[in-house]
Amino acid sequence: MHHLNYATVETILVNFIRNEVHQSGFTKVVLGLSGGVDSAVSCALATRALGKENVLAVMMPYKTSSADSLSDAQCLIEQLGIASERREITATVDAFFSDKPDANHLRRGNVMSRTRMITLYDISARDSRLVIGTSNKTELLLGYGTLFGDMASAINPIGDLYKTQVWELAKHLQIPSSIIEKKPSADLWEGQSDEAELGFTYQEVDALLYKLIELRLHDEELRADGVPPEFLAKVKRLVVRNQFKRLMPVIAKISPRTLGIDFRYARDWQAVK
Amino acid sequence: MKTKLRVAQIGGVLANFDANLEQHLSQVEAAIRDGIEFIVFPELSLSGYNVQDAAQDIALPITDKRFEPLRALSKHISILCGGIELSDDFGVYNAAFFFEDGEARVVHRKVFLPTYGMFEELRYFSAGQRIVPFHSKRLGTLGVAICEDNWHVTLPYLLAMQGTKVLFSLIASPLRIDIETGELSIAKTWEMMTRTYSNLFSIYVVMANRVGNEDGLSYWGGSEIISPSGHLITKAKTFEPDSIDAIIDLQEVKRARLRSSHFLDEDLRLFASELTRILNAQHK
Repeated sequence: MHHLNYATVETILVNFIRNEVHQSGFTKVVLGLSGGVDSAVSCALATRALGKENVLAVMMPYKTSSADSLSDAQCLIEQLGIASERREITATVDAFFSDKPDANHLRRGNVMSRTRMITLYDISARDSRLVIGTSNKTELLLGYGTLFGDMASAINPIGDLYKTQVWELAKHLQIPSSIIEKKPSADLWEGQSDEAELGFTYQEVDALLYKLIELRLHDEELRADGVPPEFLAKVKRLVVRNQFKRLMPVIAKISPRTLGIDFRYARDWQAVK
Repeated sequence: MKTKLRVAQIGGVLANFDANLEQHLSQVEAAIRDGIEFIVFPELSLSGYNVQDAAQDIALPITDKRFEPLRALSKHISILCGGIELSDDFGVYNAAFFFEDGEARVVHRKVFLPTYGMFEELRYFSAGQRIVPFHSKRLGTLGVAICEDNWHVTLPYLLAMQGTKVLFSLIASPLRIDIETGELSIAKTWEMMTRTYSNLFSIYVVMANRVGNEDGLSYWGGSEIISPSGHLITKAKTFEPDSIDAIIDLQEVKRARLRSSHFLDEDLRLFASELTRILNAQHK
């Protein structure tokens, strides 16, 4: 994995956020702050781009969420001087599952993630705030996120940065070290760990993704490079099988101009202001 | 002949001709007030870059009455800008429009339409088929190369061989960080190209890049004016709207060529005969 000039990355992303928010007709943004490094970086960038008075951080703990997550999020909120709200999701999630006691971790995690999405989009409508995304390139490639949950946002400043690059950008942005150094976790259940769940470290998978995506190396080249075949097969499967999470739903073509196929306009299409 | 020239480094409103025209008019009016005689805008400055299907929606023939405000202002200043041209045959071109003395002309249609990586221009535009300079009463013989055109020495070379003294590189360059160095090397590459062409052909190079964002694409600005000896005269800020002014003095082209006549020693006949030989060899 090559290192980036993070001062340049910061300039690019701060301009990106400012331009995209303003040309969408918004001045303010909202984002979920989990206490992890991804949302911390998005939050710090948004604050630099728009000013502290235009950023709202929302902490949305479930009853099993780690106490450290909340105190770390609070620490960043104070460092940045931004407004925050604490919105517990426990009652909503528990009500949803009250008649589904057998639901497993995956179902519960998805509902928690989507409850947080509903909370953010409700605040978006309440305050005219654009929702800022917090998914990094590694998790988008691996599909390690909930569709219409934490993957939902209007603009995502960190979606083209691998997790290991997010850590480096976080250091450059002087994010509190407790946030950078903690073990990555979606915090959907007690003791959850990204790396334990995935079965590899972010360092390992980023090194492989870099070779697969950026350098476009073939399987034989990767194997000659010392990549274990099972690891390669697992990661390739995740990348390919999760393509659906990165695109809009598939529309069956009937007409000569089908949305997403041959009706092609940028999101920033501004023919009418 | 000395001319006060300005590069207007602006962003754009994607696929909104009226909003972009308004921005052009205010830039041109300010330039006239400042005593500027020739103003240059970036590639597709009247439309935005990532137009996709909107290219067909907003393409206009150069005779369209919506250009009238620019025609009117061009009685006081020469205006070179980027727009989407609808030809007589209803072809859609990524083009350069020139307004001078109340008249509007299409002076270049982009020849090389990048269709790789993040680019898909061949899907939306037809390719220009001519590489010819144009004439301005203020600056004499001029040439335009639009963005990717500059990545082929063909255009600067052929324009210079036909008498171009000022090459206008109208660009909309979306940035990406070089994966090996971690740096914004695309900006360095452009700096190298503008200096190389001015040096090799002993001409002015005026590079007008845009700023702003269109979806995830970020345009980095950094427009610049390079002397016929390959030296930087002035450079715009990166990432922000800006304008840069310079006096263009065609005597500088003369002085550069008196100091070193390498361009005048270029041999068009040798080049043509070698091209013919290469083409014939390829056909065997």
